[in-house]
Amino acid sequence: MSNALKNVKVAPNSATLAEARHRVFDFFKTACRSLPTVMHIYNLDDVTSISELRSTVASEIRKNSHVTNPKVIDMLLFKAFEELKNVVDMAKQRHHIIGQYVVGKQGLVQDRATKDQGISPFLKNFYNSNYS
Amino acid sequence: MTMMNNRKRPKELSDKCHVILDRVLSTTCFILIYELAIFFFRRHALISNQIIHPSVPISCYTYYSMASSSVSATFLGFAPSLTLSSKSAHQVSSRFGAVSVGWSRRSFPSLRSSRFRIYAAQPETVDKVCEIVRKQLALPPESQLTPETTFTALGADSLDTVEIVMGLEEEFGISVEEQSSENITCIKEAADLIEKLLQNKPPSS
Repeated sequence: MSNALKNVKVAPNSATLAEARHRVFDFFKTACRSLPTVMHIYNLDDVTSISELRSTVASEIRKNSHVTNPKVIDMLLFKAFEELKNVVDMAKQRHHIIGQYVVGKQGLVQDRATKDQGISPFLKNFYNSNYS
Repeated sequence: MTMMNNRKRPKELSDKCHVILDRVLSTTCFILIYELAIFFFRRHALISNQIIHPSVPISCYTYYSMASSSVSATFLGFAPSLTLSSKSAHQVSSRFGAVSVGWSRRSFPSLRSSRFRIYAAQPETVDKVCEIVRKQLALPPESQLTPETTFTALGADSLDTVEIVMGLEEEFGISVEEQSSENITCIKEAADLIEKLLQNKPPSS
């Protein structure tokens, strides 16, 4: 794998918060660079796009942005690398990826494919309301 | 008859001389051109680091043969006028001077164009960068983005900056290394870095 995910060893604990921050950005860059592979192996082209996945990863990172202890950050990074490795090695399946990372706030998959263009607008608005 | 013979023989002799001169001159010119071709071919091979046959070094043989053939060509070219020494020296120096000017002229144009390309970031690149920044930070479309606006002024934290750089990587197909991604603070720097990386990248199939 070009991102060398297999060679990731557990680094010794970061000494300072700045070093932990640097490692978080490195993880984010590695994740973003492996996104095209993920899109390809799980056939996610009709469900989402690379920018959406990238913003999902960024929001997951932002959920833990209040942490200040470098050791806790290291632990979170360890879990994040493990999750990324599982995703890239295809140890997960498509419905895992869709359920965990693609489904938006409405709880539904937003359609991006062109397969829906033939359907009537009644069916498209069916989930929203019955009386549109 | 003897008078006519007397007039005829110098003519014959001069004709023969002229014929011989023509032949020798043409062959010498041919040799000169051949030597020049060999010289430039070897020089081109040396410059582009190709393998040339090491048996004949470029310096001694070709220079000597070139010099001798050029000298002999000028000798014979000016034989009818019979003023040899100073003019041949001038001719040799001017011929070599023309050759050296030809070499230096070859290296200039690429230097000038590459220097111009580095300093200017193209406007469509800047526009694409602005588009990506706007979409990433969810800015309203009427907000103005000059090339000098920093990302933090637009409300982006460090993770947003990294995400913008990643978006640019995906959009342009480049790969930004560590140390250069730390310094990107405004749109102009991002556009310049993209331009530089697009130049240095080998053409992808």
